[in-house]
Amino acid sequence: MNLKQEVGGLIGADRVSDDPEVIAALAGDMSFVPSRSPDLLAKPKGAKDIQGIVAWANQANVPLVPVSSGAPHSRGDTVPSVGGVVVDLSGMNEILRINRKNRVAVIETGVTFSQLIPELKKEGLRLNLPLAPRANKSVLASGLEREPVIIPRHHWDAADPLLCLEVVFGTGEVFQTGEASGPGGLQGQWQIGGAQKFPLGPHQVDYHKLIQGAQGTIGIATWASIKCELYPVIDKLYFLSDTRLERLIEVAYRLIRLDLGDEVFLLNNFTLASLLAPNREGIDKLVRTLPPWILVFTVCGYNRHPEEKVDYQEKDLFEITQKEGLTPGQSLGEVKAEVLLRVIRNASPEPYWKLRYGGENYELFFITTLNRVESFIPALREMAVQENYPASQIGIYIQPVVQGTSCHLGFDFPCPQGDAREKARIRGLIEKASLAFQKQGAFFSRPYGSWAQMVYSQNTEFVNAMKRVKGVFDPKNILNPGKLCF
Amino acid sequence: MALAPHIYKMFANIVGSVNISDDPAILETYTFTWLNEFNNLCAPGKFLPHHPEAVLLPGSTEEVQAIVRACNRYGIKFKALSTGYGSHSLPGQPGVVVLDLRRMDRILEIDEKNKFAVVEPYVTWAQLEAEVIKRGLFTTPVQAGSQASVLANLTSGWGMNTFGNHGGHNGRNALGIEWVLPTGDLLKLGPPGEWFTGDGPGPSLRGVMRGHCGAQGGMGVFTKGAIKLHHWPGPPKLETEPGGMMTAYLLKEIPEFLEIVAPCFDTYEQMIDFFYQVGDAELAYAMMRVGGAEHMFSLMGAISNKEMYEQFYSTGLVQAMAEEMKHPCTVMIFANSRREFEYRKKVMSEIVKETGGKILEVMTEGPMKDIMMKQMPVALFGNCTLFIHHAGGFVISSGYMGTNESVVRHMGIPQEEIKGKWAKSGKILDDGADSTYYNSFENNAYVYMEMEFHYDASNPESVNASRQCLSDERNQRRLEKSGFEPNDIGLTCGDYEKSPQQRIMDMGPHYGNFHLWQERIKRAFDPNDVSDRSWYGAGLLTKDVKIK
Amino acid sequence: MALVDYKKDMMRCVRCSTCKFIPISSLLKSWRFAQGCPAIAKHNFHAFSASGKLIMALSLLEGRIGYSPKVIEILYNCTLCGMCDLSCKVGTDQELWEVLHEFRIDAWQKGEKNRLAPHVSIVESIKSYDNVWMQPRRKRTDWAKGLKIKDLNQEKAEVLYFVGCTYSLDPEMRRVAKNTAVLFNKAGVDFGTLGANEKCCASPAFMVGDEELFVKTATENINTFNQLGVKKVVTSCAGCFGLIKSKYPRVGPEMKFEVQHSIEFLNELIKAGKLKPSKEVSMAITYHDPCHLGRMSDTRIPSHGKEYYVLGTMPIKDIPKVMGMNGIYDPPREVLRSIPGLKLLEMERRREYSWCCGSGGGVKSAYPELAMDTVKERLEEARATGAETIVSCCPWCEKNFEDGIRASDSELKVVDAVDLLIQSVE
Repeated sequence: MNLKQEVGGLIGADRVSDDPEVIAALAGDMSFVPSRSPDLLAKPKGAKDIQGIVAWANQANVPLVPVSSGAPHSRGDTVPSVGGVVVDLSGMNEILRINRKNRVAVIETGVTFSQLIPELKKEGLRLNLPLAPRANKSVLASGLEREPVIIPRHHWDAADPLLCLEVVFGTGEVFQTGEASGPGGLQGQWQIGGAQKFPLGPHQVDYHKLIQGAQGTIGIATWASIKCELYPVIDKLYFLSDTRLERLIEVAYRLIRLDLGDEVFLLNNFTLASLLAPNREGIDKLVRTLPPWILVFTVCGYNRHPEEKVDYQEKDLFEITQKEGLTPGQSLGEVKAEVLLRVIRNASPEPYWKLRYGGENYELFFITTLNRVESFIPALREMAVQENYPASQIGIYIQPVVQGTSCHLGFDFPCPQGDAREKARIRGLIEKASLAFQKQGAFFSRPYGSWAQMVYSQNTEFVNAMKRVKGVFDPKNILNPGKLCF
Repeated sequence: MALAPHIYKMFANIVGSVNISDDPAILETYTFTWLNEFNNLCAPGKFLPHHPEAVLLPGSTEEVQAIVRACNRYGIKFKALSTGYGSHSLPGQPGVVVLDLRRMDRILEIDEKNKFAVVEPYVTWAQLEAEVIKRGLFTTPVQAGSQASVLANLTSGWGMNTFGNHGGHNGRNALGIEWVLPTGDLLKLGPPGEWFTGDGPGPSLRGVMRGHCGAQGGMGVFTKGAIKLHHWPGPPKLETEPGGMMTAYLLKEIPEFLEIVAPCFDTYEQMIDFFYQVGDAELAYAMMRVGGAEHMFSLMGAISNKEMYEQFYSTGLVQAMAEEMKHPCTVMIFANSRREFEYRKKVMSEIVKETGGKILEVMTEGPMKDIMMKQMPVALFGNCTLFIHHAGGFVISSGYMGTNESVVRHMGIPQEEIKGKWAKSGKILDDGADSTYYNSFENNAYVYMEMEFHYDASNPESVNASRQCLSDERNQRRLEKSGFEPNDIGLTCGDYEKSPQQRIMDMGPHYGNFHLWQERIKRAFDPNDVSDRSWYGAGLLTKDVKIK
Repeated sequence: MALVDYKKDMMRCVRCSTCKFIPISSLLKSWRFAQGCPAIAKHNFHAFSASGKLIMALSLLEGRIGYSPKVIEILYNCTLCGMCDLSCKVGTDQELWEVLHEFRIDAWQKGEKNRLAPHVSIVESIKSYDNVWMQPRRKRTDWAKGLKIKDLNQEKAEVLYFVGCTYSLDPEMRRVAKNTAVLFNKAGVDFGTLGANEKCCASPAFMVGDEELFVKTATENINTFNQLGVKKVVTSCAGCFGLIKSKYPRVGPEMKFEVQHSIEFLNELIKAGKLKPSKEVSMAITYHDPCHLGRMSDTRIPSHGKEYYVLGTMPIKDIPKVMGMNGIYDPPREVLRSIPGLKLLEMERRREYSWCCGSGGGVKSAYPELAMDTVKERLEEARATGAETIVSCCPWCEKNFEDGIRASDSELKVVDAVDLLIQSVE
């Protein structure tokens, strides 16, 4: 029997494919990770299918690469390192529950942002979203990747908004984490008022934290509960712009500290233009009209006296901005607040905003603190100049996370599609900057691609400990081998 | 069995001879603690049957590492504790050396802008609070009291706290952590030399650090840790003066935008509705239900039992209030501006009305007004733990985390029945309260509920009755009956029938065999089985279980 | 009376560590000055805390351990300052201090005094000389030479000035008694002393656990004071004051007199306009609350374990709950504030939760290292206020401060409040 027959025998012949075109599409992505073909694509229907595949893979010693979002992928984590079976979970896309009362949704792995956002809105809920995510991006995968989200005050822990999970570990055993653990299953727990809101445990292990950030190396998730927030009744977005970051950062600190505003993040003009304009020309045109730095925040009112809530928040935060000598506005040149509001409350329209300028995009991102952001940016620009990359085309996104205790600092480098030379130049720049920034205290908390080697070589104890964890949950290294430190 | 002289000498070389002792008198004081009478090793007595081999007082991470490495080399078990409080903080088996972390008590950093502090194990909540409040920040002090260790709550024991509604659960408030693994290797969670996060690179090893219940000494020693702080809207100093019944001190001045609202509800349904609404509107700095009306009086720590009895019970006041206040809640509004304060008060009052809440006149006028506004904040901010020990003993039953509905369904209803039966027996405190404690986290994202009752720890009859009451309580709620239990806090107390560890063994199969997963993790991280496993997973019960 | 009386208190200890610290966050001003108990602050092992000693006592009663040099070392490495008792009582009815004291009585009675030579020698001095300094009785009057003071052995007065052993006999401390008497005279107070017939208050005997000597001496003193027919017994020594006011009532005989510390009395005189501090004394000072003028001066009646239950299992101790809130805190501050030019800077730990000077409970004589470490901590706290001088109303505190200042090359000065007042009064 060949691979196809074996896996097909487990989950149904119509759910596996080794069509060369299909396989080729899975062999690489928009990252610097070298392309490598899987041997098979398998599309399981549920946890039982996955368990069957994992059990088989353990016996057959075949690697499994879980994938849940649609293409294009961009971080190399779904590119097989040593072939094997791509386990595509995108077909498991049922929204299992939306519960307004407890502000939570339970979704299967393949549920996308474009699918979930409107359904939540119907119930008066919304997600604490990443910044205009890809429409076909899996919500659950985004949570597993600890993708930064745009409402810092609702980001209580780095794990948010991901709460509880069902997961098939590399051993083939299925497990529910946090409050979802225990008898009854989802239905039984809902019947007695449960909602899978408490993520810790069971008992003395936080399993969800081991699965998060693991790039599919610990377990394959089948569903998860996702923390939701109320959808505003009144919704206002404000721009606060300046030629320098310093004052904007001060304001961001104050807003987060005082729980004022909902979404709070900072962008450079290039990123804002990329979010709003449909194409390269539009971005070039728009970026020229924008100030270098923009703090974006929203002020929202909910079901109880929304006008009054907005009013007091506006007054309080205007006092803060005034202290810094800045005035928030609801337009920025030709950019209207409501337009950006629509953008950040939804998945990105096609093409994905990061791809609009060049067709390809490469990322450099890490965690630091807001007050250190400014120490990285000039250095990066200087390196870009040295590498002949136009600094004006670097998108910069600063997202305070975990209630402002740290922030995500992301740089985007657009690249003309198929331009191998430019790609190599960007790669050189990113690798150089990454090394320099790591020395400067940048924390590459999500080490995709070559960052893994860079960060793990500096932290052998972490690697040793992580290998112990791996040995417990995936002792045969079936799940996505070659990633992280495994 | 005493330590061999050369081993003792080796430890003495590490910590210094004044910082080690194997004197029986010293060791004896590490065999007695709260809840030992519910630890099946001792119950109904108070002393563990075994002494530790020695007590060591390491002064640095390096010393901790050296001790742990030596333990691995010589096959000696160890258990670290900080401020201690409860059976789980002491060794649960013979042959253990205790690491009392008292000498590691520095606040290493307070990052005001990025809202976190880095502490060593023996920094108490009170110490941290005193320093951060000056910088306009506040903590999330554990109900175990302001004298308890901050780091222990982040890493080793639970994480519930009074200000969780605004400040979060301490299991989720940990950032960077420094951790001496059971092997003696030093693991730093988060970036080397930095504290602003503890997650990654890649998976977060916070996942094997604590879970819901904390490592309870079974996974090495946590030596430094960063805790997320939250905003303090009050003045940089809370001035107090002697007076009052709660902590013996009251606020000189009520902070400008502080108000404590104490609505009560006739039914749990109404109360739950209230919690949901207040959570949605993000109004509360702290939000809880404290027992019945009468249970609130157990917060009256500064007056004697006699005064309390004479003022509140023999006057019939408690009974009268109990009639009126079936489900009393305490909600703290603490705003940053006049405008915000007014908005929150207005919405709060609206929600109270809509949800059928009553704010009794007695609570807003006369002596109760003073108690609520001047004394209660000192008790809450000051976080005194001891007033729960009025009867000389206090125990919590199972405690649950989950949604308002699930925990009330599971705990709230059978509560009165169980407590009532034993209270009538005269062997536990008959305070007339249903004695449930209920606390909201993250704007009511989830709540914690536990049953509490008071007994006399000096009276074996009372202790035994308490253990039987716990058995009743757990049998009443057991899986087969309810079909579901929300996330249990870890069954710290044994009851008349079973040890905590046996209960974990029983529960494990219903919860994905978590006890066996933990055992695998334990074996992976502690190959020589030296970090005292008595309070980790099912403790010694899974030690020899064959798992694949 | 026996240690076993307190077995319930021992069993009810929850080992929460509150007894090691200033209670409850709201009272704390900083990380630095959070400790409450000198013994655990120095020795760190839990046994040295009040909780540890309760556990040891229970263990002893249950025959799990016996008396040993280590038990005695732990038991007496404690200034009996009472801070632990206050911390615990913020939330409970637990007796801590009484247990620590009863533990000492038990040890003393069971022959453990043989391990406590310095304490025995003080006790013997009291027995032989009626003072703690092994000085002839006649020397008690040396300080008063040249002063007009009534001899209450011969004549009547409203006030007995009970000078105390140290103020009478320590050449460096006599000035305080002298200054006090001068001020009394200026204010026209009708007072006198017992001269050479004054007897030690027996505080050292009480503290080390020699209950027999304490009861005997206290009874004699009460009878003497009663016989004098004075309205007030005023003393300048915080140790004497705390003992007479707080502990004498447990001895038995009715006390037909009011007990005051001289600073309280002087404050009354100032308020009545009989003393007028008017000269400027330019100085930045901080005031140290002596334990026995402060929290330990609140009259304490021991429960001896007597209690009854209400509500099933709520124990009622039929004694007032004493937390030390009624100590003498405001009078010394009022006196100091009445002196023009003085700038009073408060230490973080003050009033009832003041840090002990380290001298009490027999520690100074038997465990000088604990006394020294404890006083250095207090000096550091005083220095942190920015004050140049530390003021107290207790000879034991003052002497230990002097030693601490010498040992640590501190620039702080130490004075008694009376020293400042006399400079200011015309």
